[in-house]
Amino acid sequence: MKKDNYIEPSNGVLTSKMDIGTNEFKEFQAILLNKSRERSITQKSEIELLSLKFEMEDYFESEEQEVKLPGEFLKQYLKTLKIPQKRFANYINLKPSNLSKLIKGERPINYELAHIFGNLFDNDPLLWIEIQAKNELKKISQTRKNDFHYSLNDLINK
Amino acid sequence: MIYILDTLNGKLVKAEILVAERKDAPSKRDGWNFNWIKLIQEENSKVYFLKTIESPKSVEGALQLKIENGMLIMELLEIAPHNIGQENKKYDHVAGCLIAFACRESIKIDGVYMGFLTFVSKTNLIEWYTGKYGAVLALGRRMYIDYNSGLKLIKEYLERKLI
Repeated sequence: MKKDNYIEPSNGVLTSKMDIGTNEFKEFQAILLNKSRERSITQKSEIELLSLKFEMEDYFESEEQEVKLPGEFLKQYLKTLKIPQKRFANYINLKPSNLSKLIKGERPINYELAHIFGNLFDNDPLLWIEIQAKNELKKISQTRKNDFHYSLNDLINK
Repeated sequence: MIYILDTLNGKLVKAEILVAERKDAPSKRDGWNFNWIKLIQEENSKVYFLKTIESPKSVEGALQLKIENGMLIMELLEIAPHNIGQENKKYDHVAGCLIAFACRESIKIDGVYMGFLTFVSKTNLIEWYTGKYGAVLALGRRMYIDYNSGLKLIKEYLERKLI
């Protein structure tokens, strides 16, 4: 960022409301549309990949109830990059049938695969494992909640 | 985890940006300019508050985002009265963190406007947005922060690591 002699705000309000629907607003959108079209295919792809990374991070941090499998994120990555699943499976030395199971959540992502995905998609390998672990814990706590009636008090006093 | 700067001792303080809840909304009585309780209830918008971990009852900055025709708009950005001014503010980086957060949200939207954060600047803040946050003046006071500048802000304000 260039360093200018700008003046720091003297009021807490830092924006004005956008004049949605006016001709000038439409003109503003047209300017951005042109800027967007000027982007290279590489940059568009870079933005889409980063978007997926943020989506994964946000899913892990969120408390939303809907479960999203790490395999679904993988599927989105391959779709964004337009890489056929079979080609991807061959590239990472995985049987296509096993990749399919992994995407459906029928086969877990191991540490090695997490490293491969992290390396390929420029995200933290731990994130793949963490999302998987989060989903598993949620599943167990929902389906077997009556099994977990342990207490430290009981343990000490028995 | 994000960090804002305690200007009194120069130390970074842990903070977070959360979806706004009515119970936490700051009021005009406390010197804020907008009725954030009302803004939280507005349809087609999302409101976020920046709070420190150690004082979660105090809102340090507030942000309202809207999507219009697939374009993300930073509709309102307000920082707490005690965080205004060059010399007497309690915390610095509050606006930076909220703007960077909005840039991150702009990358998450689908469509042609992905990675553009748009807003209308106050007249006297155009140079501040340009110089400090890499924003571009497009039309009138309408500005945008593009993907490259947004990414720099995300790294600077949201991915800061304590050494």
